[in-house]
Order: sequence, then structure tokens, then C-alpha cells
Amino acid sequence: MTRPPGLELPPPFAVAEDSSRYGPLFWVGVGLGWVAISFGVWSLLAKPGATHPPAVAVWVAGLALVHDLFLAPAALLVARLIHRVAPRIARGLVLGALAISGMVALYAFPVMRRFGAQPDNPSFLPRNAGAGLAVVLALVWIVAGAVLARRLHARTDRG
Amino acid sequence: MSDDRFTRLAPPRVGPFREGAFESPLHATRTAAWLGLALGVCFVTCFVTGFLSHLIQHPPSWWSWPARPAGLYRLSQGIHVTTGIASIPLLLAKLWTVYPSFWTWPPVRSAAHVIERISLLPLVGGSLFMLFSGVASISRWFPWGFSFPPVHYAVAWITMGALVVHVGAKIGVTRLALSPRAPDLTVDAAARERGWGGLTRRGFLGAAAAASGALVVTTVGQTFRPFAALGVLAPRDPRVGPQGVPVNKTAGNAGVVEAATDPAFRLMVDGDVATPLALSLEELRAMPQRAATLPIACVDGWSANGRWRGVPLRDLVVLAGGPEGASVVTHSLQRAGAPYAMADVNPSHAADADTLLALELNGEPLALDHGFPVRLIGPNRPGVMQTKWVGRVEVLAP
Repeated sequence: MTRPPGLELPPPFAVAEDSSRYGPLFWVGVGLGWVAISFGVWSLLAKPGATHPPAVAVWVAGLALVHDLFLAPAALLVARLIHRVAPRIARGLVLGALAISGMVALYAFPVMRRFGAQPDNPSFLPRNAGAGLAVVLALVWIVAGAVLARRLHARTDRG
Repeated sequence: MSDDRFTRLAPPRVGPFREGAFESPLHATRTAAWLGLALGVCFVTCFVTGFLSHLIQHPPSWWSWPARPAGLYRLSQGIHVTTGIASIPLLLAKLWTVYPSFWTWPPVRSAAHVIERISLLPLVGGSLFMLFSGVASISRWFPWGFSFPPVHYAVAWITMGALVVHVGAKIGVTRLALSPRAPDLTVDAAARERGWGGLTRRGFLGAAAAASGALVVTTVGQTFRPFAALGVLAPRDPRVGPQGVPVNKTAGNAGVVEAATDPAFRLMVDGDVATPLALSLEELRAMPQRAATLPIACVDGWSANGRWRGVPLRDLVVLAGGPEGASVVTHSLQRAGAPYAMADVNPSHAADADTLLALELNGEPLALDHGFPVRLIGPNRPGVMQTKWVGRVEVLAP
């Protein structure tokens, strides 16, 4: 993607290589943190019949990999596509509304799919979460649309 | 002087990508710092409330959970689940902001850098796992082969430990990024953002906050009654269930229908008592009754008030000649060893006048799914420790 003329690079996220970053506080954190991590690992290993440590390792590492190699790149590509096709005045709004929609939908997925539904327990998942999600998403896009309308209106007013 | 840390940044080449591959101004230190701060507060809140719930259910010898205030567990567990749900957008936004760091090049620069990066796997994987497993569990979806509570507990320690390492590594840069002198705030940065023309950093943080807020508003009603009607994405509605109270485990699911409806049912009171008792339902009903309005507060984060009526547990202990200061173990009619088939009632709870062996809920005999013929209900207890279908009260001398 070509950058508009005069646009400098954004501040790179990469962090300073300076030695003060790895000062005493860092090493205190490493010491304390790894004690807690070790306690967690020990807790897993102490009851392998209930915890199935290899399965837990697969889930923990797997979720990190799914995020880093699939979810984040997919979000990046979608954002880049919208950046390219959406008119400038709507770009931020569409990206923001899409981000909210995606995050709410991600949470709602297991409730909406009713994976845990029990036929003899109607008090669990008493509502249609799919309809609930639709209402929430509709509100998000209505607000985004209203903001866009106001922006367009303001631009027309300015002539 | 300290601003040097920003001016001496590593070159923007990122991993296998060309220079400036991650162009969005959203990958900014200050944005990451704000999200990190918010996420830190949420995770610490989840950890403290989660650890509390763990202590209540697995009390170490030096610790005892009081029976009062009656609604404290309901509050703390509601905060635990709601804060966890609110963290989902914050975590995803945070990971998005720092994503280019994943491709840092060269991948490692020093021993300290290796340690910092290795600690990111338990942090990122652990955070995602905690939120995913928590949401799946309150949705009663268990797509894994392990038992949820001990794993959620162990991975919480792993995640928090990794968070401590991360905070130690980032506290300096975070403090600097949030100070008014942060270069992200300069006119240059704002101009760059306008030139970019996408979502601004403020808009991005606003979107994360809005998603978080939307999830809270649509789920907190499962425990916070004034929001009950708005809880369209909550797994529970505190108004819906037999006798107006939700059910977690049904009698059919627990396999107790036959035993619970057997006319020959007797409640056994034994253990360290002078005269063991075997009481029929009629005999229990003939005893002096007490009513109390108490919440069922589930570990899943929902709660609902009920008006319970029955025999105070302490009256039964006295009737059987149990010692003062006794604790009690309630055993349900479920097969021994079934999860939550028994519960410890510590002396504070056993002595509380409102800790009842309830026979009625909201003016009617208990529904079978609420624990007919008799269930334990007491103030300030997790739902899993409010034993249903109680068949035996075991008294233990202090």
C-alpha cells in the first residue's frame, strides 16, 4: 500500500534497546513471576488425572498460535482492505464498528451456538442469544451510521 | 534524557516484513500503555476474586470464610465473571496494538530479551486461555478433556506470573508513554494520524471500551437484577427457572429423581452427636421453621434471590446433641464422589441462624430441580456448596 505523500512512518512499536530496560526491577519481576508460573505448572502436574497437563499445554500454546498466526493477520487483512475501499470520511467509523461487532460476536459465539444446552433445564440459555447479538450489532451500526450522517451533513454545510 | 528511549528505537524493520510493513498509527506505545493498564486492573481483579472463590471452596487450615455479609460471595463472583468478560475486547485490542512486536527482528537480542520473550508465551497463551475457558465454562461448553476448575486455577497462576515479568519489563516504558512528554502526543504524531485517515488512536481505544461496555451491559443482568432485562447475551436470566430461580444441575442430570421422591426418605443426622437422627419429611416440617431471603450465587457468575423456609441447621445439630462450635458436612443423595455431592459447612456457617435445611422456596415446596425434599441454603456461600437433595448431615466436633 502506498503512503500518502508527506506521511512519515508511524512511531515503530519496537522498543528501545537500552540497558535500563533490563534493570533491577526487571529481574525482580522475572524472579517473582517465574515463582508464580512454577507454582501454576506444579498445580497442573500435581493432579494430572483432573488437569491433563499435555492437553492444557496444547490449548494454551494453541490459542496463542491461533491468535498470532490466524486471527491477528486476518484482522489486519480485513482492516487493510477496508482502508483501501472505504471513503476517507467513513473509514474510521467502519473500522471501529467492525472491531466492536467482531469482539462482541466472538464472546457471543458459544452462547449463540448453545453448545451447553441441556434439554431438561430451560433455565439455562433462556433467551435467543442470536437475536440478542443481532440487536447489539444493529445498535452499533446505527450509531456508526448516525455519526457518519452528521459528518456528511457538516461537510455539506461547510460547502 | 529519558525520551532517548523513544528516539533510539529499533529500526522499523519488522521480522520478515519490509520496512514500515505495519503502518497503522494504532501500533503505538501510548495506546498499548493505556490498554495494558486497563487490562492489568481487570486481570488483577479477576485473579483476586478467583483466588477468593478458590479459597472458599478449598479452605486451607489457616483460613475460614465467614457467613456474613450474606451477599459478599455473590458480589465477588459477579465481579469476577463480569470483569473477565469485559477483558475480552481489551485483550484483543492490546494484542492488536503490540502485534508487530511479535515479529521483532532480530528475534532475540540478549539473554534478558530471551527471558522476556519466553515469558510472553505463558502471558499471551495464558490470557487467551483464561478468557476463552471462562466464557466457555459459563456457557457450559467444555470442548477439552480436562476438569475446568483446577486448570483455570493453575493457568491463572501461570498467567499472573507471566504478567509480573511483563510489568517488570514494561513499567518504565509505560510510565514514560503515559507522561505528558510522550512523543506519541507530539504535533507530528497527530499530523501523521490525520494523514493516515483511518481509525484514530482515540477512536480505537473508544471502540475497545465500547465493546467492553456492550458486553458488560448485556451480561451483568444475570447477577445485577436492575439490568436483568438487558442481559440478552447472558447465559442466565435471574428471573427464569422453576419457582422463579435458575437451576444449574437438574435432578435428572444428577440421577437422584428416584431417591429424592422415595416416600421412605429419611434425613440422617449423625457423626459426632449424642443421638443420631433419621427424620422423615413430615418430621422436618413439624419442626420450628425459619424463613430467610438469601441469594443462590453460582460460580458461573449468575445469582438470584429466593425466599427460603426450613429448619435451621444449628437446630438439627442441637437436637442430635452435637457439640457447640461443630462443623457439618452435607451429603446429597447423589452417588458418592459425584462432583459437588457434598459440602463442608464451617462453624461460622453452621452456627448462623439463616443457614437452613430448606423445604420451601418462594412459598412452595422445593421443586425437584431445586433440591426436593430438602436442600442446604446459607448466607455467603457459592452455589456449588449449597448442597441439594441432602440425605445426610454429618456433624464434626471442633
